[in-house]
Amino acid sequence: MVKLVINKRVLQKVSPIALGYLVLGLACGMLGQKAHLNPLETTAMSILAYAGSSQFIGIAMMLQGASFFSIGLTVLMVNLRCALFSSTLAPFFSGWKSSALAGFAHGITDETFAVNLQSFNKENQPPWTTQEALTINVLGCIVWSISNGVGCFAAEYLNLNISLVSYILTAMFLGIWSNYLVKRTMIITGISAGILSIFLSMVVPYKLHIVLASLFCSSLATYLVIKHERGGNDE
Amino acid sequence: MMSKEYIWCVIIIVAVASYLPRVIPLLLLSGRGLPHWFKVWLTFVPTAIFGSLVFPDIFLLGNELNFTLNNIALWTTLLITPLALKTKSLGYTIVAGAVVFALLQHFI
Repeated sequence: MVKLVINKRVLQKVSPIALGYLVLGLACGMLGQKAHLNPLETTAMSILAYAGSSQFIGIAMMLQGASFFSIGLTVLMVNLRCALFSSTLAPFFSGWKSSALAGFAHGITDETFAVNLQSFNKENQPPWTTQEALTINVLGCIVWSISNGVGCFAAEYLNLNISLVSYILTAMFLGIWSNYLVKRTMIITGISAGILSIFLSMVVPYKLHIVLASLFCSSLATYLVIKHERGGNDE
Repeated sequence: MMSKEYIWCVIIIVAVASYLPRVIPLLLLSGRGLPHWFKVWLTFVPTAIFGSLVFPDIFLLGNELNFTLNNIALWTTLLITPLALKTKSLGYTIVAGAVVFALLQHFI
C-alpha cells in the first residue's frame, strides 16, 4: 500500500533538499513575477511541473514571447535527463501499480533522485522503503511550491532590476551546467552547442535554436562515442 | 503584456514536457533498462542544452555578438565561471553572479 512515512531518517535526508528548494523557490517565484505570473499561477506551475530548470526555461522563454512548440520541445529536452533517473529507480519499484508509479514519477528531480538512489543502495537497517522515497519527493514538492508562491508574492513589493533578474536566470543555467562539465567530451559538446546556438539564434525563428543546437551536438557526440567504442571492441 | 491564456498554456506545456520523461521509463521499463545508445545520448543532452542556453545569453547583446565592456553578462560570467566549476553549486553561482553583475553594472 502506498502511503507517506515521516520518520527521523526521512527528515534528515530531506532537510538539505528543503533548504536548497526554499532559497531557489523564492528566486524562481520572483522571476515568475517578472514574467507577469501571479502567485497563484507561479504556485500552480511549481506544483504541476515541480522542476526548477523547466520553470526557469519556461519563464525565460515566456519573457521572450517564444512559441508553445519551442517552449515544449526545449523543456522536454532539458528534462530528458530525468528519463535516466527514472529508469535507474525503476527496479526498486517493481511491486508498484502503474497509478502509484505515475504519482512517484512526478516527484523525481536531480536532488530527490540523488538522495533516494543513495538511500536505496546504502540504507540497510532497515532497508530504504519506496514509501520513504515517495515521502522525500512529496515533502520536496511542498517546500518548493510554497517558496515559489511566497517569492512571487514578495516580488510584487520589491523593485527588482530587470537586467539583473534576467542575468540571474543565466547564472542558474550556468550553475546547473557546471555539474555536467566533468569530462572533456562533455565540455566540448557543451561549448560546441553553445557556439552553434549563437549562430542559429540569428537565423532560426521561434527560439528553436536551443533545441536544434543541443540535438545536433548531443547526437554527434553520441555517434562519435559509440563509433569509438565499437572501434575499440574490434581491435 | 502577455495574455492569461498564453501563461496558462505555457504552464500546462511546461508541466507535460517535464512529466513525460519522468513517467515513461518508470511505467514501461520496470527495470529492463534503456538501450545503450540512448543512455549515451542522455548523458550528452544536459551539457549541450545548458551550453545552448548560456552562450546566446552572454555573447549576444541585442541580437549581435558583443565583446565590449558594455556586455556585463559576459564579464560577469567569465568572473564567476571558475567558482561555478569548482563548487558545482547552484546556490553559490547565483549569489556570486548577482553580486558581480550588480557591482559591474554600478561601476561600468
